[in-house]
Amino acid sequence: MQIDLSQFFDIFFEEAEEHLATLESVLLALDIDAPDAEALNAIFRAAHSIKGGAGTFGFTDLINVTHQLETLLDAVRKHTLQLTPSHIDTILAATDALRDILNNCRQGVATDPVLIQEMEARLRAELLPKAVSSAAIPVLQEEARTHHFSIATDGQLAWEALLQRLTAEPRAKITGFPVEPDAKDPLCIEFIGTDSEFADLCDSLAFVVPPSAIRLEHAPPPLVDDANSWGLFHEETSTAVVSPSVLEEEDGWGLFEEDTPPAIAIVPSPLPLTLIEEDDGWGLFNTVPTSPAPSNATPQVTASETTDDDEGFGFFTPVPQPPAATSLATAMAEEGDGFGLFVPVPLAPPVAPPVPVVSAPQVVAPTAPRATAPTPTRQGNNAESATIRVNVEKVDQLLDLVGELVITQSMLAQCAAQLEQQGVGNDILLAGIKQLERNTRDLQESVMSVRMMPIASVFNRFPRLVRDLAGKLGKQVELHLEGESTELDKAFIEKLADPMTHLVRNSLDHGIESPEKRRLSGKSPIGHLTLRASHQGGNIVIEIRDDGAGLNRERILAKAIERGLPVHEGMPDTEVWNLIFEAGFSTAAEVSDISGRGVGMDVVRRNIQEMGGSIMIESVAGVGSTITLRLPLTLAILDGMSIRVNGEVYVLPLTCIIESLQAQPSQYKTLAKQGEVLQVRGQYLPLIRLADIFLTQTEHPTGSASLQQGLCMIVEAEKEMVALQVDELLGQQQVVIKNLETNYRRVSGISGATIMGDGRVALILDVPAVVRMAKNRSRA
Amino acid sequence: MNERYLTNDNSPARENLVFTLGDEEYGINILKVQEIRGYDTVTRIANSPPYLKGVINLRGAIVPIVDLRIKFGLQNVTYTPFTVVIILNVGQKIVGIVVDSVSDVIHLDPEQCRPAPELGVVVNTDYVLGLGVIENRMVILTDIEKLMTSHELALFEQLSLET
Repeated sequence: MQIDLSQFFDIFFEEAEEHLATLESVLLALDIDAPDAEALNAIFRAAHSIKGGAGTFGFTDLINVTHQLETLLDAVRKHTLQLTPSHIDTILAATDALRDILNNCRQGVATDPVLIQEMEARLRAELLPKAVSSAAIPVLQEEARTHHFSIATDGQLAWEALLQRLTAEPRAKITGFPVEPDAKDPLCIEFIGTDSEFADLCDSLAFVVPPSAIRLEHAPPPLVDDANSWGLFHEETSTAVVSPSVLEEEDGWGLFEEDTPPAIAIVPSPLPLTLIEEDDGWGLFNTVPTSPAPSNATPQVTASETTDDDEGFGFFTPVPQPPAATSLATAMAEEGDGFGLFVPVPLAPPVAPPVPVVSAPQVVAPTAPRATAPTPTRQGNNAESATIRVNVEKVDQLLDLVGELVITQSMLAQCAAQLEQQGVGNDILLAGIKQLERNTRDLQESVMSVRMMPIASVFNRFPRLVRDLAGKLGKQVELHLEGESTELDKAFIEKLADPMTHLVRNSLDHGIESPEKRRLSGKSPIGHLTLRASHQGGNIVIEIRDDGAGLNRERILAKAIERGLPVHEGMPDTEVWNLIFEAGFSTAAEVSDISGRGVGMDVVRRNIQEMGGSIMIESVAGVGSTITLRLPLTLAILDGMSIRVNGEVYVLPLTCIIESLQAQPSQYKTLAKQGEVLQVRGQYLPLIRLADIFLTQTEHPTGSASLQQGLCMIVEAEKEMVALQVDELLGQQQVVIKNLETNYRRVSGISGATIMGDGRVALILDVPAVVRMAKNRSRA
Repeated sequence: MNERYLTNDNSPARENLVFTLGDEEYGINILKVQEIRGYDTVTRIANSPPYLKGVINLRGAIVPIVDLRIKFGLQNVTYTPFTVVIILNVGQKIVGIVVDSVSDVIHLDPEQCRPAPELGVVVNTDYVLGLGVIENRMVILTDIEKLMTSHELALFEQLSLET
């Protein structure tokens, strides 16, 4: 049996790693103060899936750790435990441990049991002190209860429509009318139903009354309880506070006003009932089991009404101590339409909140006096998608075969064209070949798109990296990711990870300053790091932008002089910045374990250039720096212009071509012993005769005979314009790039090979290398 | 690892493909041979040694073609419809060699093999494993893998250093 299962191990390992990655990314995106219920569920699901898989395959170490992790996550998810940064740290540590265990399992090595026990203990420890006994876990269902609310009557209400709506709802009962038509007394209504039903009612009422007019009253408990409930309020508090509320709250509740006794009369919910209801509904009070929960609402109301805004919604503005109701209420206050409060709290495990307005936060907002606005529900990348796992080799093979098919198809097309010229063409054959051409092109595109992956798979590693590094460096950094869905070739994805990691580390270590420094220079103490990917023309552009100190021109120049590089004070910034790409160049005052050794930037540049891309730095002292990576869309296909030189066909990448022209003899100028230049509209461009560079054994250098009839391609190579003289221009086409080094070796001036429509091989020119070759020749 | 074993193993293979270069017959391990095909137009590679004829498209793979006749300085190198290319698998690479002709496949028992002579053949003796004798024929048994990956031929960048 074990043998049978082992063939699935790899799949499990891969899946488990994916789950871990999901868990980590969702966790890091989580707002600790107001965790999104769906996100919490996703995290829990990920842990659960790993546990399930580990159980199937009998990896007990994994099961033990994930089990504890799951327990912790479950508590968080069910709101019996409120999330704190320390939990996040522990969970992250657990994912690291899981990854280690996973690796060990993969290699068939046993994991150190001490490590596992420590991890388990740590997870358990997080759970224990704050966890509530199982008995206190709230009943996981919504219960119908009595809701009291009032509608402010400021004379502008559509009374008829309102009454009609209310009478249409049998569960709603009007309990208090204004004493006089033009009085400011509210209309009091009692509604029996579940939270969500109540939310629905409020929604429907919103059609006829402004949402701000609707006030919620959670069955206020008898006033006597107020005084001794929290110890916060003195005996006289209740009265002392009530009076200002009367003064300020013009359109108030009618609750505290002495002349509207009905208001109190209509909220007769007995105390014990209130307690249970609150518990069920919110799970708030578990954390403070000793405090007399029911009185909670009222003291806050009174306390804040004295101070709070005229909107009248801030009555739950947090007093330092009170538990969750506070942040709930504030969240609602910010919502504006005032319905947030009634959104049912998702207590039943798998049920996501039906209304995505505010996923009612269950947590005390310990810091901010006004809790932050609730984050919008994330439509995450955690959405499960229908995908299959395929070995990259298979895709590459498919791509090769499609390439072959394209060649065969163009051969057929050529044959058909010849037949037609000979007058033996067959319409059906021709039509078939046309269709084949279309289908082949579509097929090629689809196969190419299989290789394309969103850049998110590179970006996703950075939230964690930034978090860890920022913690280590004592900096505050906020990471922004933009354009994560930009797709690029899988080969790039793999190769991008290292250079980008390096650049991000650099930004964090050298770019973004410490909070104190930032404050001194008048910036927000929190540094911002933005990673953005986008398409620009035929390129993928990736930006790494920070708002840190920027590059230090003086320091770089000094260092360059110290290293004996040819620099001078008047160098343009861009050239100065490029100095940091020199091998071994580091201006870091001290070497840290994160960066500063000066190895790297040269490697980064080489990696990017190997991918056919370029790297650019922009930097302003004190404002920040941006590093821009520019990459071709794909490794495998290239838009090229085919040219003939010395009887051989070469492909010139289209991206580097600026123009092609038929040069007149008068445009050629020679510089003594420096080679030739071509005069193009007042500019003198170095002229490179490809025929002289690409000498094959049998040919002799073409003399000046071909010069006159030669075509010149103006190309850009490393920011330099050069004229290339070619023998013939054959046409533009997309070519599939093949590596020459697979079976041969690197050839100078050639970046690869491709197979042309006639089945022959054409070499692809590496323009910068050709330019370098020509320079070396002219020097020699 | 396999290559190392084969390269360092000095005993000739049992089954050998025999081809001629000039007047001499050479035998190579048949397991190294992928296929035999006619000489096709190649795409020449600039600034390469004369014996490197260029590259061809072998069902999607770009394969370099070495003319052993040029490499070993034979006279009258011509390309006719009967010119033969032997496609070899050496190391992880595919490479084609141009020879005068391919004659047959011979089976050699160890007792039919003689040690390599010190001199007298066009191929450097470093690459000669021995001589195979069948009746009146003498076949020079060649370590084709060692030859193709040699620095002398400079076909590949790293391969010969690795093994």
